[in-house]
Amino acid sequence: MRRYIIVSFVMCVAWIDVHSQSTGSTSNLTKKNIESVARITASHINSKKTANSKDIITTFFRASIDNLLGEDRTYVLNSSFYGINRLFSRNVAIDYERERVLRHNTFNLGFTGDESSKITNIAGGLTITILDKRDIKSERYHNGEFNSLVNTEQIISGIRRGLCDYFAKFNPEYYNTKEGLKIRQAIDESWNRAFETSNFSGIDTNITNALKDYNFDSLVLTSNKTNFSSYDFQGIKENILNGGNPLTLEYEKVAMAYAQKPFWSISPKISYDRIHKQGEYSLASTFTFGLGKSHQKPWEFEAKSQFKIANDSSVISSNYNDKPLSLSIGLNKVLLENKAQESAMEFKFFTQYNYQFGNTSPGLSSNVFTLNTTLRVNLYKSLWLPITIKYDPDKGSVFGLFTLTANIDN
Amino acid sequence: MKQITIKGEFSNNGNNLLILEVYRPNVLQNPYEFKKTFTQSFQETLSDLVDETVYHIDFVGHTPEEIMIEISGQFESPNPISNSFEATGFSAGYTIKTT
Repeated sequence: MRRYIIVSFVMCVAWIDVHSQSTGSTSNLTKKNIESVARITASHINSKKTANSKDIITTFFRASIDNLLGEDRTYVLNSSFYGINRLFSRNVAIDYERERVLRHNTFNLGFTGDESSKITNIAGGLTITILDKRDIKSERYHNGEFNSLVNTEQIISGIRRGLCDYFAKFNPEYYNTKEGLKIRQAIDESWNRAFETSNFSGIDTNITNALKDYNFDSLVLTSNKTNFSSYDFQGIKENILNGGNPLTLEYEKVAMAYAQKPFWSISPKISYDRIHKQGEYSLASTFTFGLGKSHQKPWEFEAKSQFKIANDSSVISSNYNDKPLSLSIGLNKVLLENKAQESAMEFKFFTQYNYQFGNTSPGLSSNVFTLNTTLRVNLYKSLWLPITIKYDPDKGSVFGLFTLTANIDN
Repeated sequence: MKQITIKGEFSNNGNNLLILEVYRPNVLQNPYEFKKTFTQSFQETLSDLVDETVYHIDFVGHTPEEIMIEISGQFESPNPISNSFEATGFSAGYTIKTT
């Protein structure tokens, strides 16, 4: 029975993964006419978020098996309303503000099974985003992050214009002959390919020779109508000559800055305890934001709270005497990144304080303070293994929790 | 006079920028200048291009999702010209000769 549940769960995750690979909204421009198909595999904003923050809210689908090695395992499937909308309305373009609301709110369904594979608990809940300044597609939380990128774009535009003015002045044959037109178009293809692949090593020598010529600088700065500084222009020109892609570098900085902005959500949840035949109710809150100025392997602050009303299992009759409040504060750190500069391993240290407003069993304290660590390891693509170790300093006891999660993002 | 049409289609509505320039250098005969900035999907038609003349069309900008661009009209092959960029800053330029 347990094997059946796990296999069904994995197949469900795989089915959702396959059907989530959509090509995006309707477009009047057909891709069959594309001449240059090289796309930059620049990291998307979502790939800059830590796995820790993706556990709070998923942009599409998330599946997890909590307490993997314990006696009571919980299987949970989270879905954003956007994910459901995309599954059933794949080719219908929707207004971004409506899309934003759908992305920022998720629902989850889960069930807990005991070691004899009997379902002991069925739960359903919502995660509602109160604040999400990480949304790079929204113009609401602009704070000048795009200024440097826009300045770089103005300079690149000036450099492109300068190259054309340079060739028109020093190589007029490029405009007067058929062969010259082919050379000019080959120069364009070389420029386009270099920016698309961020590989300037084989860029056309006409471009590099022009960039190195002092006449080029005066052409650009003379026709500079957007008033970018000579200093910035020289910096970007040198960046290109040294093989760098200034646009991708600046865009990555913006993406990373957004990934570190604050996020706050609340999660109400209702579950049904099939053993004691009564409901349980909880309300949780999570708040995170990035720390420090470095966007490489960032630090992340997290504050969580949860209040729950449930059955006190030590009492035979139906009751709501289990009322734990849990508060935690922690720091999450990206330890390793893959080649695409996405998180591959994270470590979180957090303190947790639990207070029991309801009944406390004899011999146990109504308040418990623990020190905890979670190591998240990326197994494959969006499949993560968080391993949590809890230490109770009062009792000197240690125990661990294993979870398996898969975030299927879009 | 010859005509070209330039289309740009963003897949999302927020935080996009595209600087479009169509020009012919001033040192050449029949210089030309057109520059416009877009933050949403657009279609621009230029109908005042001189016959059998070389022009440059440049795109520079950024989008957090995807943009598809297309140039079509009365110019020599390759025609039409299309490209797309995804979640990045981008720069692309094309040289055409009107028919």
